Amino acid sequence: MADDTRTQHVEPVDEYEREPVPKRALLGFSSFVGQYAGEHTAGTELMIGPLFIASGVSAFDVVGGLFAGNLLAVLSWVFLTAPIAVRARMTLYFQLEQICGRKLVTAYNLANGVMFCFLAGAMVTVNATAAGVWFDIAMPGLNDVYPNSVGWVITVLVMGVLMTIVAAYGYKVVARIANIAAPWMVLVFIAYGIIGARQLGITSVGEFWPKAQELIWTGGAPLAGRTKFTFWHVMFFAWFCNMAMHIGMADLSVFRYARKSWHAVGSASGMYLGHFIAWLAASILYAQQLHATPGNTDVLPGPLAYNAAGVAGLLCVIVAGWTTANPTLYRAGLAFQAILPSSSRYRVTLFTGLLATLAGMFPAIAMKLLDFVALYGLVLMPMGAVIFVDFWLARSFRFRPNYAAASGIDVNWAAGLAWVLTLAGCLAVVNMGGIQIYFVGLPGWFAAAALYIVLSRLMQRKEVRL
Amino acid sequence: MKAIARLVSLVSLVGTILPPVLFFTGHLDLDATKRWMLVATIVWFAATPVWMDR
Repeated sequence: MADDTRTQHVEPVDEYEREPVPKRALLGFSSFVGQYAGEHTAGTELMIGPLFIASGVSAFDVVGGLFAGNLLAVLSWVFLTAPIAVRARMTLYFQLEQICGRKLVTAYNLANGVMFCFLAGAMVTVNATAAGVWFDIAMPGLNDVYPNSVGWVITVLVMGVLMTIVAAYGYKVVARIANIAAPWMVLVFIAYGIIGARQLGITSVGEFWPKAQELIWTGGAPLAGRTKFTFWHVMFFAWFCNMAMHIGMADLSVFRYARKSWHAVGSASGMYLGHFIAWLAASILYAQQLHATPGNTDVLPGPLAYNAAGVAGLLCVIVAGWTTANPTLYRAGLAFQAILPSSSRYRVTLFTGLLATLAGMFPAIAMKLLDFVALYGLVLMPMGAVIFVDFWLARSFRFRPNYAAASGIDVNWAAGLAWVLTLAGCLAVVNMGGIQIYFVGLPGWFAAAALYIVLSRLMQRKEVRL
Repeated sequence: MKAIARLVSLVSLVGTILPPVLFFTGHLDLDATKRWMLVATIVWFAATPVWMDR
């Protein structure tokens, strides 16, 4: 999953935040290949893979769905995000500020910061499951919502506080470790799958597909409390688990450094290493656990990795979790700091980390990670539609792009209402219409775009409008 | 020095993935696989910082 950063330009950057990136700072294709490969091979991949099995997915549905969904994600970066990024060369926040006004961007930052906190909380949970192996503590089960033991609370607290302190004071050290660890981590993830397959009794490549259907992704009933997943669930989940980044436009901040928009093809490295191979490998480990101990439905990345690859596997979970929680906490801190600009970054990051630690104590977030990730994308997605429309379509529909900057307002209500109404509509459809959250993102994006066009035409002052 | 470190890193990456492959083909047991992966991990983290990101 996502969020994170293993190359220079996504480290805490204090450059070109309010101006276009100059030519001398542009980066080549390989920078984006490396960044996305590292960024999307995170500790949380070890949660997501098993949750597909818990949802009773079949082999064709998971492999085909992941292939198609990841392809659509790459195409979204290439054709929606990057073309705007290389033309404007602005950060998401600056571009939003021009369109929406300072106060509305503050509200967006608050939503963004809170979602990042919970995501970092899930990463703390993953790391605590690895630490828990060393200390043999009682760990949460698949359907646990609340912390289930004092040992678990203490483990999460220790891991969370350590990660927080490092994010606040040692960001660059961990960012460097992330860069160094990335190639090794990818191979350890592949190793999980190979070892798990052999433990399931698969002894040759030719045996893999028939045994995968019989033993791994059997397509049976989901585990208790889980939604049954089909091809479409998997495809939309894979496409939209990074919805905030591509159609939500958060990665404008990344691709503003790209020499050409096609460099966004580099995102395929993260999608197919992290969101294809790593998820499938983690699935295989979980299938092996269910096969060896049928009553054990716990999704605990630490024990899963340790049983397959020993101490190296456990280290991979810790490094993957730590190196992705680090920038996630940092980004959450930046989002909150934008709301309180006078506060110190270190204090804000410490506060953010403690909030994430508190969230990490509740296993429900990690155990319901598929739903949480979908919600995270949904919350931020409408603003991506607003940016897309404002950049490409505003003049065709005869309203002023960058309206807040042009008119000097703090809140562009057309953008604000498009955001809130779309989100409210999507959540209403999920909660009252019985449509699953994975399926509302796509129509939601078009609804946000249409709302923004109509509301801008109605609400922009005539003297400013085109 | 850096060239040697790069070579050692490359060997350690091979050492990370080769034991699982040998386990898959039945040429190595699981305990030995885990042990060799740990050795390769230690070597990777010792050699790679010498040349990467400096």
